[in-house]
Amino acid sequence: MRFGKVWSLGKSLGKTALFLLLLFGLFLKGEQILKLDMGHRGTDNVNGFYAEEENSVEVLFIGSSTMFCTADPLVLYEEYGIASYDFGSSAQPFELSLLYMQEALKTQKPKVIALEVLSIGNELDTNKADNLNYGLTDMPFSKEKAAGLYDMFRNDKGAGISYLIPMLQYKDRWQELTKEDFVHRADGKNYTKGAYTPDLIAPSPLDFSSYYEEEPFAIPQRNRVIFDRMVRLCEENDIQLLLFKAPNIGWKISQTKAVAALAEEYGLPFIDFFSLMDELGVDPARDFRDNSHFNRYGSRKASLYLGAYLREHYTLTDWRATDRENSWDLALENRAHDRANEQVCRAEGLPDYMSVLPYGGHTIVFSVTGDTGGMEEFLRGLAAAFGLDEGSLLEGGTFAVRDGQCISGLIGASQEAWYWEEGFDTLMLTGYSITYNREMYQPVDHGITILVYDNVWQELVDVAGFDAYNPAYSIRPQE
Amino acid sequence: MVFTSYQFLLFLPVVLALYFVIPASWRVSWLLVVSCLFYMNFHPGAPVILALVTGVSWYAGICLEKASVMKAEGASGQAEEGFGQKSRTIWRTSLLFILFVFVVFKYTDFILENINGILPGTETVALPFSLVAPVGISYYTFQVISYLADVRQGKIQAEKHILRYALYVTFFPKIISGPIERAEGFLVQIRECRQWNLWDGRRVRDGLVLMMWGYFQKLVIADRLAILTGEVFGHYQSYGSVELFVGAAAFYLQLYADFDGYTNIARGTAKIMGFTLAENFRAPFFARSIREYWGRWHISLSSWLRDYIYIPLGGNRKGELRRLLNLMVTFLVSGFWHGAAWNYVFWGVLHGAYEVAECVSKPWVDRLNRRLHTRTESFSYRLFQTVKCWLLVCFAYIFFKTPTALDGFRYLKRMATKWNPWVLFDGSLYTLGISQKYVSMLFLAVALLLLVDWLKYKKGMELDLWLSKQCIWFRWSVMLGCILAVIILGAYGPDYDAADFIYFQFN
Repeated sequence: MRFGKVWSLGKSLGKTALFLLLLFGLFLKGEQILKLDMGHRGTDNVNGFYAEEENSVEVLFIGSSTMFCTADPLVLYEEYGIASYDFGSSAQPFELSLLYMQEALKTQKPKVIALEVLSIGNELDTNKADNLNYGLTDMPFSKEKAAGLYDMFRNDKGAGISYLIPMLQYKDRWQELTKEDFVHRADGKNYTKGAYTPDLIAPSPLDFSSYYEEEPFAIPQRNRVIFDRMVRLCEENDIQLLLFKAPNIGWKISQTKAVAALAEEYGLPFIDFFSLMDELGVDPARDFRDNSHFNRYGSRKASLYLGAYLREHYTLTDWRATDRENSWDLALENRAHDRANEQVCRAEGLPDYMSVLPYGGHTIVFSVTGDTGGMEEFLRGLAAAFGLDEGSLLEGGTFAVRDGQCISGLIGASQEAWYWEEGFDTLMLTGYSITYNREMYQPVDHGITILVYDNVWQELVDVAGFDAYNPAYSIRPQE
Repeated sequence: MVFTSYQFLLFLPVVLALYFVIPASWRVSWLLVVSCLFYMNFHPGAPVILALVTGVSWYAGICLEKASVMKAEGASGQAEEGFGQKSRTIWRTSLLFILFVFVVFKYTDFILENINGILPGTETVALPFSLVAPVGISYYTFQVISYLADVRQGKIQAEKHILRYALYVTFFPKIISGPIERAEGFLVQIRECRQWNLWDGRRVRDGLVLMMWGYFQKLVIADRLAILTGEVFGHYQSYGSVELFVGAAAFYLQLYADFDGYTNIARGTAKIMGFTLAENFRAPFFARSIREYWGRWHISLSSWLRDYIYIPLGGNRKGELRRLLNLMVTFLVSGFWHGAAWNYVFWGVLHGAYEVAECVSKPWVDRLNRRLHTRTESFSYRLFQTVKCWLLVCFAYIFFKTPTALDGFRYLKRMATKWNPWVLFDGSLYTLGISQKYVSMLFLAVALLLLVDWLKYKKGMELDLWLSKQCIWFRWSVMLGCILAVIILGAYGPDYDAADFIYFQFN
């Protein structure tokens, strides 16, 4: 009788545990799908950080977008062999910078933490949900996160809980879910190592004259307390703390002075890029993508300086010199891959386009349609290059090339459609059309249409058409 | 600490965990302590009034019983008359005191407002202090009145144990919005609870199912509809017939999902602890007459009004005219109970008029049906009756939602005169605060609500009981789906204003 009762109780508890486990699993899966992918604003940097091998990062950059648009870990690695990562999020409140430091030290033992100080002058505004979401959405649940949120949301615990459990922030997104929310999140690695340095140039040169306007400024008391905790955290973990400020419109010289004084008070180094702009040759007309951020060119200049500074002042390993395979080498390869894609998207004119077509790791589709008299010679050469009959393309037709090899043969107008798929992406070719994911591309009536698909990232790179009698200009469907 | 707050989701597991492990003799004390804590969370001062009413009614109950026993044992003649007189005095004094507290806290503002409306010029009467009605006062006042009336009539024994009686009044799942429990059902459970074996997995599971369904009704249906009804009723002057009709229908649905949701959470919580709270709703949307509707809607209140107002007034025992008058008085009391405002009074009068009209017209309708050979048990006729009842109730609830009775009339007038059927086709209905996808979701959720009600209507079976009869995979799928639906589709979180349960305002 007694055994029966115990058995029955055990069974009930077992079933309850299994039910809760199932519920928890479904909850986590649902949360993963519903969470907004914020790309470089947070998701990529944060998920990428957790995907890094443990204790592989020697220099950790912490801060807002001004940080990850300035320090480019790939430049630091390529030029100085420094293994670094940009662990930050857009418009990051100073409280989150401390949380990021605490979080980072769970998996990494950096020798140096470089803190970009943009947010040291700002008080926390808990109403700016976007800024908090950028930084908190992908940070996993932990007691540090809970404690940090408790500290930030003392007067509105309900809101604090909603940042602790991202499902509560994003549950309404079920209405806007797309395929991308269910796929493309395989390894979570960030091949830019957190940096965001697009090849964009601000529409007009930046005017930094307002930087020199003296305005009274004091670091908020709460941020001083947080900064003190950061310093102590670094001391406890034997980490060198370095402060730096990237140039942006809105920052004032009085703020720089306040940070410099704070750095001096704690005996910390402070790199002020405002004062280095001339020395580094920063061009306000070319080196920024907007009022707050360096672009690829400005970032490279700043990163070269940072690399040299780090190499000179700290004992850091040159990882290029070691035999051990590391993720920065792979990241460089991926960067080359991305740059190749960029070149394709920018190329104008058929000769240019053909010269930058990246065959490795890509599938390229050529579709010849209509009257091609104006490009007869080119088509003969193209057919020969891929083992097709020289004159066959003059009649029109479509073929696909993968890693430089023709994989479809020439599909003529009278032949059946040819199908191909990669992951969730599908391609259907006929003698006169290209259909990618059920969307038909045929930008030119007479000439050649080229579709470039990236097999590594599993995404469409570009579709461009060239008229047979005017191949100097590309015609892109979206233009 | 409403049921949908994070605090309650932390509070309840702690209460339950300790309730299950403490010695059985401590259960009443523990539940009383947590009920007081729960109640204090709304307003730290509110328990003073509650304690006063509880203490007076408890003592009055004992005195009433003593007087009744003496009367019964006191042989005959003068002694019996004396004890009878004493019983009457205790009953009247205690009732007057309880009603005085109730009226002072609930109706003072209403009375002063009306006096000021009558007074000429700028002369006004005002209290030097503000009176805030304690949460749940309407519910616990009716509860203690029914207790005293039952003791006086000898239906139940007075509770001698003050803690048990206090728990009867304050039990936290029901203190805020009922159900209005009768002592004969609930007090008995409190007396017996120390003998219960709490470790019954099925009961706990059934309680959780009820709670889960309650949260679904409240967060997925009611609070989502609240966005639409807030928009339509808030700006009714700018909408035409169709939107106003949709708003009124949505409010009826919202009210039901909200109040039944609350009741299910309360009943589920109580069930986990071994208590059975009274059923408050029994598929009211399927009612075919107003009379049937009141047998299915807010049953604990309507049965209270029947037993302690309508029947004592004479019920149907004093002729047809008096019966109709009694009905009107009962519904007038119901209107006043719901709120200290004329729109609630009008709503009550309207329902009284509906029922009177139903009673008066019944012989005529029956005769007409016989003449026309109407198949009164056919599906179509039953559907007609259901829709008719549904519409009548729906129109009456317009006065529930509008801030004043005058607004209610204006709303009805616009609904009747601003005919705009094209909005059904041009997508205007998706601009009432709820996106198209949420409208589709709501249709599904309401269909589910009606399905569950149909189970109750047709088979007399509640969701927890029906679900317990299904195979484990189906049961788990439904429960997991329902919990995830509440989490994902519920109208809560940072993008929403937290909506209280509607029936909280009738405290």
